[in-house]
Amino acid sequence: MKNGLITLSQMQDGQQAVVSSVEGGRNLAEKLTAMGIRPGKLITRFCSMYMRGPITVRIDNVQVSLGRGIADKILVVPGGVTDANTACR
Amino acid sequence: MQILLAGNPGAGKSVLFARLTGSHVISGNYPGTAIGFSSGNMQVGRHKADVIDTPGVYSLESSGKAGEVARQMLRAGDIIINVVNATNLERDLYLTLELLEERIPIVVALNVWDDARHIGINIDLNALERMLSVPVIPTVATTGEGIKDLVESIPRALMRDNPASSREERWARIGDIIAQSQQVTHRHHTLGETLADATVKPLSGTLIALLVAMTVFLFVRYGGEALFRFVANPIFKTLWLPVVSWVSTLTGSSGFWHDILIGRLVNGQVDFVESWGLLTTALYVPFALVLPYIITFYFALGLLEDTGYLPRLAVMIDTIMHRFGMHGYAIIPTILGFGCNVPAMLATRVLESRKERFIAMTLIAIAVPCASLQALILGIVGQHGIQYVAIIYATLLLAWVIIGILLNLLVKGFTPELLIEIPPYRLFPWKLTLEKLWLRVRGFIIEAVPIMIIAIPVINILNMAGVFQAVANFTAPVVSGLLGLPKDAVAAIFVAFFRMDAAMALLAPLGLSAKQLVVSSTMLVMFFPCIATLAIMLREMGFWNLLKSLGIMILAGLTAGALLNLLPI
Ligand SMILES: Nc1nc2c(ncn2[C@@H]2O[C@H](COP(=O)(O)OP(=O)(O)OP(=O)(O)O)[C@@H](O)[C@H]2O)c(=O)[nH]1
Ligand SMILES: [Mg+2]
Repeated sequence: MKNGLITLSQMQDGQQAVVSSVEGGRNLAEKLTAMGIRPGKLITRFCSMYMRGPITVRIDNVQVSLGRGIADKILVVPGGVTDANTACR
Repeated sequence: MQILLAGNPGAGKSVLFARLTGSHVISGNYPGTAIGFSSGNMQVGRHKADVIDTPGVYSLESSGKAGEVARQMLRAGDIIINVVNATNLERDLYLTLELLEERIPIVVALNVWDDARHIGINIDLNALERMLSVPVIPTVATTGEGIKDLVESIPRALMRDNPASSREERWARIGDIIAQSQQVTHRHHTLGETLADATVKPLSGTLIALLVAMTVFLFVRYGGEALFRFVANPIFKTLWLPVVSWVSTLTGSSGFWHDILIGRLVNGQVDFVESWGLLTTALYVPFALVLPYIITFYFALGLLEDTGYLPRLAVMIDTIMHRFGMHGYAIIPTILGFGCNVPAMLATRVLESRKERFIAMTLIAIAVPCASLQALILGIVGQHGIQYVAIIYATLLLAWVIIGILLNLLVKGFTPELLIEIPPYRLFPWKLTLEKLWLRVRGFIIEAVPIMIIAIPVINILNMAGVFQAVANFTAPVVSGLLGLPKDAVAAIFVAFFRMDAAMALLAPLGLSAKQLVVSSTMLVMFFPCIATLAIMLREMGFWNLLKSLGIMILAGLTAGALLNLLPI
């Protein structure tokens, strides 16, 4: 992906990132914004289900689970991996 | 005066509503519990005011039904209590800013204040109040803290009518407000959180889900049986039976009135299941056979709902549900269906696409037996051995899977991806859970008992008039030929239309073999919904879709019945 951006799906469990943009339509961007996922926010990918199941992320005090198709559309600037507590095991 | 409670999903509107009005609405710790409006009233100073609980929305611009409804509602209110979750201040303020642009007076209830304190979020109330320029009252809806202040602040509600702004402007404004009014102290992961996390991790989460499912099943099954054996049945046998026997002798042990009140005597005795009279079956079935399971089921469901486990379950099961053309959230209406199919159909409103809703509703109607029916299946089929009950459930599960896969392939439309908020766990919400249990038990009694009392004499009279026999002769080729049942069993299908449990009770006196019972109870579950479910399905999916759905049910029911009949059970 250009400019060092990756999608939420490409992040690792336990990794942090800053949301850059949401592709694929206003509707989705709006819904995500409402739930707290919007450009500039620090997001932690907490955990993901087997077989391309949903990914659970954290933003502030909110936990949101979203399907891979949605995660594919969220572009982020990746950061480091946080403490082991948040990793998905 | 109309007071509207408005706020993001899960902010605590429904609990606050109960506090303000003293009336109860069903709430639960997962988004989308309230789909309709509830209204009640309260006293504000000397005036009486209507209070309206609304479904949660994140924004007035939200697409979809919820947003539309919220916008309509706004126009009807005189004052808004904007319920804001203090632990999600930044996010919840977006709706607040939108509301402040409307021409309507507002007070802000800064709810979940207790949790905010616990997790180290400090909010400067004065600063917040100053920046929003409306009263801000911290509240804890669950304990009642701050409610008095909130009520007193209602007359001070202010209309700001701020000029309309863009999204970016609102977020920028929220940034300012947060910077000036909120401080978050960092804190370490607690043991409780580590455990909570385990329920959404793949391996531990799957194991926990299986464990929870098994525990709930065993609890409902054996808890219900214990309530029946040690409470309900003894009450009927020792206290009510003498009264009924006395009435029986008084009315001369036979004749029209005897048949209506007591029903037929079985071997010269009153039989609470088979006699089929007003004072016998019409009371015994709902109160002794069904009520114990209603109590245990709704207690377990209430705990699952209030602790916040259900949305986690939705995450765990999402991948599987996609095979059936739905996302994981569809598991919640499905689970509700095991109590009663009617609220389950309503709960499918949280599913966004028409395809998803059609599949979810059809599958619930086909493969999810309500608590009343399950109680009778356990009671009547269970007498022949638990393996027969197991065959029924296995058949239903298989039907759910097969029909789900087929519908996913055949129904046009799309299945959206899962996108849900996972609420924090709430431990031991005993008071809420018990109140809700009472609400549901009362609902069951109010709905089921009158129908039983009307249906039983009507069925009796139809029976005396020979109507069922005539129908039975007509349908005999299918009922006896295809399904291997005595032709009189067809009466149960008609009765099932009114009450599923009564239909099972009607089968009891026919002396069916275990296999015939398996076939007929599976048919009852799958073949056709009861009238209340049918009415709600008509409203929710429309006439043509309902016809399609019914076609699938009838086909599925007959196929399952015929196949079971061929099996060497
Ligand atoms: N700790 C705490 N929990 C609360 C408080 N208020 C509500 N809750 C809990 O939050 C959860 C959601 O409450 P509801 O009243 O159903 O929320 P709602 O705003 O009606 O949600 P929707 O109807 O889905 O929009 C429940 O589990 C409540 O017990 C509070 O002040 N403190
Ligand atoms: Mg509510």
